Amino acid sequence: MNAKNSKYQIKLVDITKRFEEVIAVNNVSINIKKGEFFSLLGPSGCGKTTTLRIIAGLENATSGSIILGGKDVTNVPAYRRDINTVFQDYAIFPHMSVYDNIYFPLKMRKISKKEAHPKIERVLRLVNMNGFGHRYSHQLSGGQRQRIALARALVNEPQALLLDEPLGALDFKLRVAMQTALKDIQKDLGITFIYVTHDQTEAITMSDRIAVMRDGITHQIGTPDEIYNKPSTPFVASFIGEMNFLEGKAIKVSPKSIEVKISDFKVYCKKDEYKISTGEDVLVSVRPEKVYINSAEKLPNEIESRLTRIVFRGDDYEITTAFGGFELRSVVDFKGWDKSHKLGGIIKVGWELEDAKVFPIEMKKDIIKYG
Amino acid sequence: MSIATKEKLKKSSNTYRERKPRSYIMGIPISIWLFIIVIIPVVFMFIMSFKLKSGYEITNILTFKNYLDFFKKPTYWKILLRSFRMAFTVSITAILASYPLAYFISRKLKKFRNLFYMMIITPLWVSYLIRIIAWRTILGNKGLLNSLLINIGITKEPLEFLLYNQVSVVIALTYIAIPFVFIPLYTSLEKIPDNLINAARDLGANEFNTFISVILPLSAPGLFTGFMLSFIVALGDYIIPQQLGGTGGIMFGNIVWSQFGTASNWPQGSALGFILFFIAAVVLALTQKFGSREGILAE
Amino acid sequence: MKGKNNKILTETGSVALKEKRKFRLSFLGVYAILIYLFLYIPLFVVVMFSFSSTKSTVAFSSFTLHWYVQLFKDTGLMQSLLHSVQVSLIAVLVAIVIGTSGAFFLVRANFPGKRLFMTLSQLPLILPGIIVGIALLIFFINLKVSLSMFTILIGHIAFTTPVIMFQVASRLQRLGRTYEDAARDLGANPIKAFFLVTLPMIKTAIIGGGLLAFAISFDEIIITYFLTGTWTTLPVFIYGMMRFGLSPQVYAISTIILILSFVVIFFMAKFTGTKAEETKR
Repeated sequence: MNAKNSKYQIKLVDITKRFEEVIAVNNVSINIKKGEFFSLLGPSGCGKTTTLRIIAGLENATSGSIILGGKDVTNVPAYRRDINTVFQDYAIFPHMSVYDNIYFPLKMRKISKKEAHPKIERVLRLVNMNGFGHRYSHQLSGGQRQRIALARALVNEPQALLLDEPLGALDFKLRVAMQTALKDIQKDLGITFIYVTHDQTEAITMSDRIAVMRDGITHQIGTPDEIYNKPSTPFVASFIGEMNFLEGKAIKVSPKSIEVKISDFKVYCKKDEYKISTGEDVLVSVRPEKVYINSAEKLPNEIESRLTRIVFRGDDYEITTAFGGFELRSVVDFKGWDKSHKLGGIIKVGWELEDAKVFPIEMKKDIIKYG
Repeated sequence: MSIATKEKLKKSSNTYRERKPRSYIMGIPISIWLFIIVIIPVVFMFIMSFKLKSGYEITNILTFKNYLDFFKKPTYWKILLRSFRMAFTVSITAILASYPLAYFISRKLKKFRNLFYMMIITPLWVSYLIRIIAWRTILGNKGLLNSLLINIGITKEPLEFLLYNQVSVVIALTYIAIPFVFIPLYTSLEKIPDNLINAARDLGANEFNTFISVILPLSAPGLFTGFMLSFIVALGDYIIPQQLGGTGGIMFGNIVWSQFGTASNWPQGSALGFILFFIAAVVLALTQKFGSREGILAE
Repeated sequence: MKGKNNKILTETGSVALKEKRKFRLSFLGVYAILIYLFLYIPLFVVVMFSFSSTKSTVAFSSFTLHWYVQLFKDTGLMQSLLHSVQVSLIAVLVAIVIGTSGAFFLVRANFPGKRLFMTLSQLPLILPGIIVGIALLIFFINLKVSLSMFTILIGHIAFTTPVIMFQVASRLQRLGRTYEDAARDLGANPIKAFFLVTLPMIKTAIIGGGLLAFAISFDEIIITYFLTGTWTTLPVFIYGMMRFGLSPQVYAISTIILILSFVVIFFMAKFTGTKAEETKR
C-alpha cells in the first residue's frame, strides 16, 4: 500500500447499488479519515442508509469496492468486518438480558465470560447504564435502549462505528443531550463514527465532515463550514439552513465577480466554479443572515424592497421583503430591528459580494422545496 | 493511485458475484412438499377424471364423458345446485350468528376478550365428529330436543322433520361454519382503529350511523372472507349430510364420495371431485381478491 | 360536561352515549350469550350422556363411569388412540421442519409468483377434505402404494404443514430482519445468527403452531378415512362405531377427546400470546 492510501481509514471507491431498476447509490466515492466524525446527510431516499449498510457489509454493492484499514473488504461478509452498527430501531435482542446482549459480540470473538466481564462493565459505565445488566429490552425506555445498542456496538472496540439515524425516535431535549454525549464518547475513544441523518442541524453540530447526498449521488463533501458557507449546488444550498434564491441575467463577467440584472436592479456576485457567460440566465443565492436591512456601511448590493412580513422568533426577527416578483428573507438581531418599520413600506436591503453565489439557471430544479 | 492498484481494485469488484441468499435453499423442502402433496395429486386426479370405467378395469383412453355426464344427469347437477343453496343458507346464517358476536367481543368487551375469542374458535380445531354426534343426539326421534318438547307439552309426537333432512344438515353445518366466519370477521373488526370511530362520533354520527358508514364497510373484507370460507366448508362436506341428512339431505359431497365407495367409479368420482375443486378454487381466488388479506391463517 | 343527546365526554376522550349504550349493550350481550349457549350446549350434552347409566338419549339417568371403564377394555379403540397419537406426533414434527423452512423461504426470498405459492400451500388445509382425500388416494393408487400408516401420515403432513408455515411466517414478518442484521453485524455467521437470535424469537410460534396442528390432526376424519387401510386412527374408529348407532362409549371417548383438545388449545394460546420477550419495540 502506498502512503496515500494510509491517510484514509475507510474508502468507498465508485460504489453503486442497484435494486431492480432503482439505482439507490450511484458511483459514490468517499474517503474517511481515522477518528473522524463523518456524516451522511440527505433527505429520505437519498441512499445514505444503503451506503451505510454497504459499509457494514449487510448489503452487497452492485459494483465498486470498499477499503477498510488498507484492506479490500468488498467480499468480506458483515460478520468478519471490524465494523459495528447502531441501528435505527436499536435491535436489542429481546430474549437476552442487557448483559448478554453486550456479551454477544465478544462471544462471537470467542472471548470467555470471565474475560468479557470487565469490558462489559466498562462500556456500561461509558453509556451510564451500569447496573442495568439484568434488565430486558421491554423493561427499558427508548433512550435507554439506544444507549445499550451503542454499548453493544462499542464493546469490541471496532475500527469504526456506523450509526443509522440513532436519535430519530427520541424527543427533542433528549436528542440534544444524546448528541453531546455521542460526540463526547467519540472524542474520548477516538473511534471513527460514520453517522447517517436527515437532520442538517444535527450533522452540522456534530460532524468533522459531511457528505450531502441526494438520489444516490454525493453533492458535496466537506466540513460543516464549507457546506454551509460554500454550498456547491443549489440543493446543498437549499437543504442546509435557509437560503434566498433570485433569478436574473448575467450582464458582465469579470475575473472575480459577475454582474447580474435582477428585475430593475443590478447586483454583484462572487465568481465561483461554475462557468457563466454573458447573457446567460442565472440563479443567485444568498443566506438570510447575510441580508442586511438599512445597513450603516455601504454595501455593493443594495435594493429597495417592500416589507411584507415580520416574524418574531424569540432571539431574532425574520423579515421578508419583496421586489420585482421575488421574495427576500432576512434575519435581524433582536436589538437591531427598528420597530418603526411598517408593513408595505420600502426599506433598503443589501449584501456583500462574497455572500452571493451564482449558479446556472438549469440547476433551479435542484432546489429542495417543502410543502 | 497507481495503475497497479487500480487494476487490483477492478478485479476485486469483478469477482464480486451477488451471493444467492440462503433463503432460497430454505425453499427446497417446501417446494418438494408442494410438488408431491399438491401438484402431482391434483394432476393425477385431473387425468383420472378423463378415464372411463368399464367392468372392473379403468381404461386409458381419455374422454370428456365423465364431465358430460355431470351435465346430462340431473341427479348430479341438481344436487350440486341444492348444495349451493344449502351452503349459501349456511353461510348467511353463520354470518348472522357471528357478526353481532364478533362486534360485541371486539368492540364492547374490555376484559377477558381473549378468553371469549378462544371459546369461539376452539371448537373449530377440535371435535368435528363430536359435534356431529352431539347433533344426532339432540335432533333424533328419540333425541333430546324431541323428548324435551314432549315433556314440556309443546308437542305430543316427536317432530319428524328435526332429523334426516336438509334442516338438520343446515343446522349442523352452520354449527361447524360459525368459527370459520368468526375468525376473519373478528380480525377485521378488531383492526378498525378506535380513532375512526371517535372521528365519526365527533362529526355527529350516532351508534347506528357509525356502524353503517364506518364499521360495516371496513369489516366488509373480513365478512367476505368469512362467507367464502364457510361456503367452501359447507359445500364440500359429506359426513354431516350422511349422518344427519337421510335421503332428503344429500349434498354434492355425498355423490362424489359414493363414487369411491359402493359405485366404485373412480373416474367419475374424480371428475365430480374436480368440479368441486374448481368451484373451491374460484371461491378462493375471489376471496384473495376481495376478502381480507390474511384469511383464516392470520395469527 | 354534557352536550347534545346526553353525550358525556369520558376520561379516555371517547364519546359515549350514556343511556342508549346501556340498552345496546344488553341486547348484544344477550345475543352473545345465546350464541355461546348454542355453541356449547351440544358439547355439554355429549359430556352429560357419557356419564349416564342407560343407553337412552331421552334423558339423563344415574351417574356412572361404566362407559369409561369399557373404553379401556376395548383394545381396538385403545390401539386406534395410540395410532392417532403416533400419526399426529410424527406429522407435526415433519410439518415443523418443512413449514419453518418454508416460512423463511416465503418471507425472506424474492421470487415471482409468491401469491400463487401462498395459495397453493394453503390448499390442503382450506380445500374440502374430500378433494384432498381423493387426490391423495388416486396419487397413491397410481404409484401402487398400499394404504397404511404411511399414506395416512402423508395426508396429515399435507394439512399440518401450512398451519405451521403461516404461523411462523406471520411471526417472521412481524419481527423483521433487523435482529438478524444486528447479529451478523456483531460478528455472528449466518448459522450462529439463526440459532442464537432468530430461532429463539420464533420458538413460540413454532410450538404454538405445532400444538394447533396436533389438535387438528388428532381430530381429522375425512382425509384419513380415504387413506386408511386396516391401520386406523381414533376418529376413523369412532366413525365406524357411529355406524351402529350411538353407544354411550362414543360419548365417553368424545368427552375425553374434548377435554384433551381444550387443554392442548389452551397451551397453544398461551404460547402464541405475545410474551414480553417476543415483543418487537
